[in-house]
Amino acid sequence: MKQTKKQGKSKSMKKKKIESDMYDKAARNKETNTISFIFVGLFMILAGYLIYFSAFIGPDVINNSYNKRIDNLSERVVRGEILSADGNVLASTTTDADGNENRVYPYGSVFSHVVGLASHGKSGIEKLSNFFLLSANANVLEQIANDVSSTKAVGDNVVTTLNVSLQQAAYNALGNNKGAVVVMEPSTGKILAMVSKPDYDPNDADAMMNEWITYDSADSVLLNRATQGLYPPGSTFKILTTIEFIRENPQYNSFNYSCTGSTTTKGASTIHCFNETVHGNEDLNRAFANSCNSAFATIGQTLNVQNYKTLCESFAFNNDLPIGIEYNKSSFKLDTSSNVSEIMETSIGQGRTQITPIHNLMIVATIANKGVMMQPYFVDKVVTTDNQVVQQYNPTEYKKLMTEQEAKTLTGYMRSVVTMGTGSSFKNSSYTMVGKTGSAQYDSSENYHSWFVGFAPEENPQIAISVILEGGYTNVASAQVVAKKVTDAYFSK
Amino acid sequence: MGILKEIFFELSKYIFAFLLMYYTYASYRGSTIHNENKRRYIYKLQNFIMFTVHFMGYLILYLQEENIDYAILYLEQFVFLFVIIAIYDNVYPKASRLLINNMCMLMSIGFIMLARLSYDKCVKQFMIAVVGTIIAFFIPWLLKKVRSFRRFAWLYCIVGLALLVSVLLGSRIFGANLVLTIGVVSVQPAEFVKIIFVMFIASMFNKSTDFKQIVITTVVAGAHVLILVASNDLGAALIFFVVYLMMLYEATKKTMYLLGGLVAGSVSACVAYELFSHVRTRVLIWLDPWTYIDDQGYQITQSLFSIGMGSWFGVGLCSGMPYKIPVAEKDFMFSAITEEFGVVFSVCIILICLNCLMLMMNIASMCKTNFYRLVAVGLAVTYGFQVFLTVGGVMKLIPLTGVTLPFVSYGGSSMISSIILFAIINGMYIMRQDEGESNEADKKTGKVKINEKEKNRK
Repeated sequence: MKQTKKQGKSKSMKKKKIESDMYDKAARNKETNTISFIFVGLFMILAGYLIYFSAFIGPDVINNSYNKRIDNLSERVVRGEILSADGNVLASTTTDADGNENRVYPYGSVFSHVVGLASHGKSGIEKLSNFFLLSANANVLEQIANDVSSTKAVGDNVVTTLNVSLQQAAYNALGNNKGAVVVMEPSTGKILAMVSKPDYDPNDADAMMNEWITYDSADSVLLNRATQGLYPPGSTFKILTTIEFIRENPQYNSFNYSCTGSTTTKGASTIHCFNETVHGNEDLNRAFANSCNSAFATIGQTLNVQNYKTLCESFAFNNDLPIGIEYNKSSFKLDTSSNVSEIMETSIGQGRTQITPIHNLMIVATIANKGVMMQPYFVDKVVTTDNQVVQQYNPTEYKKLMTEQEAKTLTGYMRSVVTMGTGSSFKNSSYTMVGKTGSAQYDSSENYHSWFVGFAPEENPQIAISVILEGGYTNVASAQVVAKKVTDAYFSK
Repeated sequence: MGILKEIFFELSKYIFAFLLMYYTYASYRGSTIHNENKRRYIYKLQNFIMFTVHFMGYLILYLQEENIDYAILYLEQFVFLFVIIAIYDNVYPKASRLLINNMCMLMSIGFIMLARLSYDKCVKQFMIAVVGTIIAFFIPWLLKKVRSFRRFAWLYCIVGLALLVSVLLGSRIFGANLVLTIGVVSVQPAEFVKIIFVMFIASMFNKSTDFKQIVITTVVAGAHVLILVASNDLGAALIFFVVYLMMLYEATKKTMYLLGGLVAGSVSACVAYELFSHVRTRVLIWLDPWTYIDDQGYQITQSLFSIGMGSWFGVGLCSGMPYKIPVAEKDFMFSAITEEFGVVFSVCIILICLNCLMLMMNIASMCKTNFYRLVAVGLAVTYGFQVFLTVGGVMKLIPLTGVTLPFVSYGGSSMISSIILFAIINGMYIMRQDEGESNEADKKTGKVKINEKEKNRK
């Protein structure tokens, strides 16, 4: 018995020593346990978030012009290529015998704004995908071999959503006029073409930049009018006025208006129809097809201004656009303190409302896509030089903005624009075009900006298009003619 | 030679990550192994890993800078780390070897990164670490000799509050920034008051946990927190609050206090948000730093770039631009390390800090003396919550509070107070084992009872 005790004692002593570093759970009281658990939880959140950040947030965050670390990458990596959707090279980097790198744009000025510049402050897709173009994800052994031999690695390639033949058609259709054409796939938000004129040849950037930056904004070649040009929406804005009217008046089918070529409200200005045309008796469909200013100025006065503003803001007026490249915010200035004249002017797309061509495209594409606005995007995927996909971009919904029924009603009205209204250029097209024309007055002169927004075919929309021709355009009748050349090119392929 | 250098640079980041992963594994494995020889072997292995990491780091710095000063600094630091381990091993063999290993590991990572950012600051930091270690070396001995630490509650209270008030006045009158300058030495008193505060709370609750005592303690603790908020040291204010709350819970064993305290804390955070513009600014920048990227949001966005660029294995030591973050060496050390060593390495650092915290909570649960148990819990929470604030802050998980990462960040006061904090915990490990021996008599009777029970079962 004594011996056992002794053994027990020495064992317990030994055990004590051993236990000194152990997390001895049995010895713990409830409180220390609880506190320990709280901290284990907090630290797990830290580690978990760090891993999550690195996997999902970091890659987007670092692609920022404030991040000087990326410029550092160009010392080790040759900038990758920018490709069209079908694999044509839109931008690539050549290295001469002395190791000087030169960015080459094979299509010259055709893709100038949308592909953008890799130098001089960076713009367009060159800026959007800057980090990917300077990241070499091709196989690791090759990278180490490159490091060792101090040859530069080759950056990943960016495959865009752009279509070369459509871009070229849009470029030619716009001719020498100032303006912009944007084409999108409404169901996905893929930008298929984007042209802005006047343009520049990015290959000449080094020599010409100093001259380009001296142009004022009216003549600026660097301004991407498709995303940065702010114009009064003109009659294309009647789309939103109509949606608001339909929402406030379930009996909109019984709407009737007798147009005498102008309308005057006491104490406010007179609104004239375009060319003072007398449209006569109209229902909503016909008023829309005729783009009747008198009818819409009258409709505008009946609207609840607060709801009208809310609707426009939900369609991204006064808000950021989810497009990734440089743009300007559209603005809608009406509020409950606005006077009648301003309300009348705003409801026909004049007044102080301003919109960019890409934003107008997003609105019309929402109707094409059964009321769901998609985020426009330019980059389909990022691939390594040996064609392994690094990052794939998928269509993303921006917002569900209309019911399917509302979209269907609007589509019907926009079809009437083509069949019996102002959009007659498309009357005999082989595809069923729907759209809305617009003429926007921008100063006291007789010059008008010409708008066209629309999509085709009516039943199963494949493309949506937005065209602006700045006032003073020549050699072309109106924006819808430009749009037709582009859609013809698309459907004749 | 150039090629070999390149290969070494490229491979080093994977080696660093692998070594630290193994070290971390050993930390957790080591604390669960029963066989003492095996455990000692693991701890030796950890030291080997630490010296390898330290050597590799300085080798890269030396090759990059081609400056012999780095080699000299390396040797000095090597001797320093070696001596810490050797002395504790011989003089205080009962101290927690794991805690010492972790401290040295974190220090050596800090030294490498600091030397990479600024050689001069690293030298200064190293000298402070030496001084701190010498001071702290006597602490376990002091704890053993002086058994009346629990009696000075009001002394802790007065000293702590006086130091904090002097900083507040300093900042209000002279515009100084949380720093007290005496001659050539600048001290950040809040770093030391943290420890004094823990001693104060522990002494108070050791005496009694009746309602009156709780009210008095709460008032004094609240005064600490308010002074810190007023001096715009929000990080320290939060730490003090959480430490107090956890110690209250530990002492009273009432979950209601914990929950009530959390509610009260949330309410006062909202009040502080309404009252102080500097609190609102912090929250605003946390929610959307990108809008303020040019001014107030600059630091945190640069920190996010840093972590994002680092990705899994980092860009490699000396290959990144961590110096783009303003005062990276202080509050943003974690981001700087993540940029060059990678996320895998950084996650290991988080786990090593957690390991330290677990060791502290472990000694707390094993302390038989109420006072020391409370001190251990208080110090553990101080350390753990500070790590949480700084790491969570630099990756924008929580608003930035501007606290340092113990042993890693640049800052003399932070370094010395962290060393002291760890020394106190080690002192408790040593005491606890002595206690164990002196209590052997009680144990014996316990053992007999168990034997009898076993007999009865038979």
